[in-house]
Amino acid sequence: MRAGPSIKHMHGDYPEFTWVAILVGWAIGIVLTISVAYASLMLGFSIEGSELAAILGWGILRGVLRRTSIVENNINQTIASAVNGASSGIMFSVPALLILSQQERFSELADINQPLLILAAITGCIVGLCFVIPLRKQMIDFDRLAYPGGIAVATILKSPGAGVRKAVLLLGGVGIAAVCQLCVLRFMGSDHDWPAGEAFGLPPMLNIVFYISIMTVGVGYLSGKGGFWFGAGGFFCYFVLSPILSQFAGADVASLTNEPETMRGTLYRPTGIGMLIGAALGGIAAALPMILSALGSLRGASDRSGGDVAKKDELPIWLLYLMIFIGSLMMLWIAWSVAGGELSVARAVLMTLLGVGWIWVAGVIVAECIGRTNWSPLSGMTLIAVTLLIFAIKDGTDTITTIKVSMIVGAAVCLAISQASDIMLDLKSGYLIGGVPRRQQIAQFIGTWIGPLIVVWLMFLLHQANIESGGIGLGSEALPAPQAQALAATIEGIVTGDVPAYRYTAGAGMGLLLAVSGLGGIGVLVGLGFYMPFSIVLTYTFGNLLRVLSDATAGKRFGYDVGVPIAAGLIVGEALVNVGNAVYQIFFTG
Amino acid sequence: MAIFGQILLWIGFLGGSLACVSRLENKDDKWSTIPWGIYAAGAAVGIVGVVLIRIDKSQKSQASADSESDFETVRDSLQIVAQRIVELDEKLDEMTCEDVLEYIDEQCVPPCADFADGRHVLVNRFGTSVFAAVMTEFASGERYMNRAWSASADGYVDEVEKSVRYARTFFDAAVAELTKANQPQT
Repeated sequence: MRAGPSIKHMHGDYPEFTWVAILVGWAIGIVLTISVAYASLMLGFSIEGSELAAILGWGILRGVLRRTSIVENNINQTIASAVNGASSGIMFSVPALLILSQQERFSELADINQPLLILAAITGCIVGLCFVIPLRKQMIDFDRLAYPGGIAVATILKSPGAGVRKAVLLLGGVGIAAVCQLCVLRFMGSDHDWPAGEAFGLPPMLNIVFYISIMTVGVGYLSGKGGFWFGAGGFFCYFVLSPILSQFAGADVASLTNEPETMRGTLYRPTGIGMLIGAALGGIAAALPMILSALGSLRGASDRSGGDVAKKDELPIWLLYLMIFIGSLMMLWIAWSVAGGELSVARAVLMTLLGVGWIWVAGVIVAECIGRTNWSPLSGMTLIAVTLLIFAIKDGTDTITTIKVSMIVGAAVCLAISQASDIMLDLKSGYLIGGVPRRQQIAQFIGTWIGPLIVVWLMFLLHQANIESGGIGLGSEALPAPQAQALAATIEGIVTGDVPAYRYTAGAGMGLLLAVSGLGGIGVLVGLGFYMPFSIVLTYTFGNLLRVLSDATAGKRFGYDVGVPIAAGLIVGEALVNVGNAVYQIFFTG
Repeated sequence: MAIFGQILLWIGFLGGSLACVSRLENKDDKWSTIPWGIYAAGAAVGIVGVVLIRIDKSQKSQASADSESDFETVRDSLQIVAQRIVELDEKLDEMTCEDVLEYIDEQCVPPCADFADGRHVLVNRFGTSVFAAVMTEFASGERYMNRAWSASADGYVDEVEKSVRYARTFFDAAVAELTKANQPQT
């Protein structure tokens, strides 16, 4: 090749999986994990780590260490986001045990075996990864799911070579999003909803409320028309079902239609959870021939045209199956040990089978939802996991043991699902920049075990420190842990049998119907539309429409060249402002 | 038939969904909260719709003439990208890294996107195993093409050459898989 005017030629191996990438990935991951875990505990929301890790890696690897490899930074962000994957997973679930223990009847729950909790969390992470890695081919190579977050990360990673114009567009998007988000925080505070319907005098049941977030518009733009059915699910609830129910349902439901958020929490959300499950099971059945073909091509990689290259591109499938088997045995031992002999082996086996089986199903659901919309129903899937686990053992032991074992195995399932969605997003970025999947998969394993160590340590440290300063620990005003408080309340309900299983079942039937209709992926998307707040759905749909309009009027090329970098910038810009705001709230406000 | 099937599917879905959310919880007998008769009727109508949609789809895929032009578009896009990667490989000695970036962006990405947009024609025409075989090779080719882009942006010329060679192998294999599948059965 000839020397060019601006790019300096280098010879030899292209740095990808290097010690520098690993060490920088660990360092960025640990900093991110502590920050995000603390923010999750204080504010109740999580921050996606991949974009931040890519930007920080860009600065450290290129700016400070003078390294010039896009694929090396990709390994760095894969490791950093794998470490960070534990933050919300643990902080949204495990503190529920400590919060419940503040009631006298549950006081024994405070006695948590920390090493077992960490081991359960790490096992969950590994099993989740092993289940979802073989689906890479199906979801990324065959279905080509959008993974908007993955596109944003790839756009950041590619920015050094994408030319000045695309870098300007990316930075322009970042700037616009930053200004917009600062305005939203300044003028709207923590409530990002704009009740447009109320302003225009529209009926409350239509729930015309926009979630003011330019990142959401960007995500909708990157999803394009592929995300249409997500919006359709939301519109179906508030533009079709609510008006019909207001006329023909009983007085209690008819009056509830004028309180859309209560309507969602009571009726649409549980139905949506059921739909997601039914659609996922139906989707797995419908896509089984394709999944088998994908697995077959993984097994027969060495017989392919690329021979050794294709074989080296993927982790061997037998290794993944072996790790799932060992992980399942480990989970069984953990469940039995946490119960301290209060649980029969048969119940522990049943619990393990349910937990591991659910990791696979929920991993598929979450990976597909993230792939099509960038939103993950993680809390709903964790709720189902804990419910299943409690029902599996509650007749075989006392309430304390039931809650303790279910929550620890449930936390492992939650982390497994969280890791499953994270790696799929990272693998999409890797695909777009030409990373080797096998190296990214190993990188994810290298990062995944650190998160649980840090987050569990941080959680108990904060809990203990608060108690020693006269507080009650997690759940107090100083450490509110809002998501875990909600889960604790739900667990109390589950233990007393207060679960809308009938609505989950009915919703699952409808999800299954859509999944087998042959209209690819709509069951999961419509279910997610039922599940999510309509304000987010509306803003997201606005982004979908912008993409459809830009493709129709300016052409698809314009979308790829101009729209995608701007939309990626919108995601990054809002994420950066949110991190800054979280830091500000924690350290500079009362 | 497809439109009728769609109408039945959505009527059934509407009926079933209404049954799901039409009542608040009956605390005395939770499972009676859902009017299961109405729910079953909705589900049954929806299932008839699904059956009609599937029959129509199957008939269309058997009478493949109506998707011939779509198939040709997809096949041509794949052949174009494979050919352009061959040209890139052959001209690489004379090119700079900047040229490679521009060539991939301008000449290779658009036909890749066209092929990917129309790829489902292959499922209807040849079934899932051929689709999987073609897409496996295509995706590997596209990934190595992307790697060649990244290596060019970073200036790693040996990697550019290697990645373009791999991309060429995989795209050629994708074309070969498609050609083999499209040959008349003897």
